[in-house]
Amino acid sequence: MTDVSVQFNVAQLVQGAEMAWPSANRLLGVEFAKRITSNIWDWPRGESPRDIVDTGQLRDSYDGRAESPTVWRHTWATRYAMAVHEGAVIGEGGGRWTMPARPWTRRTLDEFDFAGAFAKIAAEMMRRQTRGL
Amino acid sequence: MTARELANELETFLADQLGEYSWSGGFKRPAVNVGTPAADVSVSGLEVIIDVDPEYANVPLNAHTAIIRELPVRFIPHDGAEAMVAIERVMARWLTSSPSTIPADERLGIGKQYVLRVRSS
Repeated sequence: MTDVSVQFNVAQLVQGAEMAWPSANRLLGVEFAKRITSNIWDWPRGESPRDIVDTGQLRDSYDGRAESPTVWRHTWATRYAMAVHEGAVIGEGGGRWTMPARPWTRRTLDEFDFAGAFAKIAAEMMRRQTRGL
Repeated sequence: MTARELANELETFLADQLGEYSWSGGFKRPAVNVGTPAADVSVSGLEVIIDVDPEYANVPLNAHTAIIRELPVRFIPHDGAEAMVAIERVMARWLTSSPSTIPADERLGIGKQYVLRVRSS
């Protein structure tokens, strides 16, 4: 008698999930950019709500890259990025004012289902890895 | 806890760390305030400013998401004053976020300052 068997290697699934990690993080980077460029931030002065693009320096300073196979770093390398994110007391002497925090990373992570996005991409990658098995 | 209540507590709790607000008439008081002080006030040493408006943050729990209320507390050292002693003391006394360092930036017109968020129910 000849048995019918299907050999299935879990390493294929794991590899599929690993392949999803960069894609999910690139998607998260796009979501961060959307929050920076959308008119969703309250400003105490002038037009409000508006975006936090200003000169574009903050938006353009973004870099997202793998630091290791399991860690992805999203960075905004502008000197005033932290001041925009956390807010700051602006000016010296009289007429100082507090620029409120515009925490685009926290807002994105609150609104964007990163785990769900990762799961969807991983499922597709795993399907490809196992060729529909 | 309101921003004003926290300011009152900090005035006592950080008494030996705080700088001074000075008015032209000679009146002085510890440099802790809710919002930025009036334009005619000068400041020296470590200044602590609590934002007028609280912030709200989502915290994922096991079965649901909790919304917590936080008061941003800003530590602004003037004249080379030290801020970390006060920051660490506040972190040990209240439930807070990690402190963030905001570097000086000429374009924005800011000196180096720190912010941490005190959770308040």
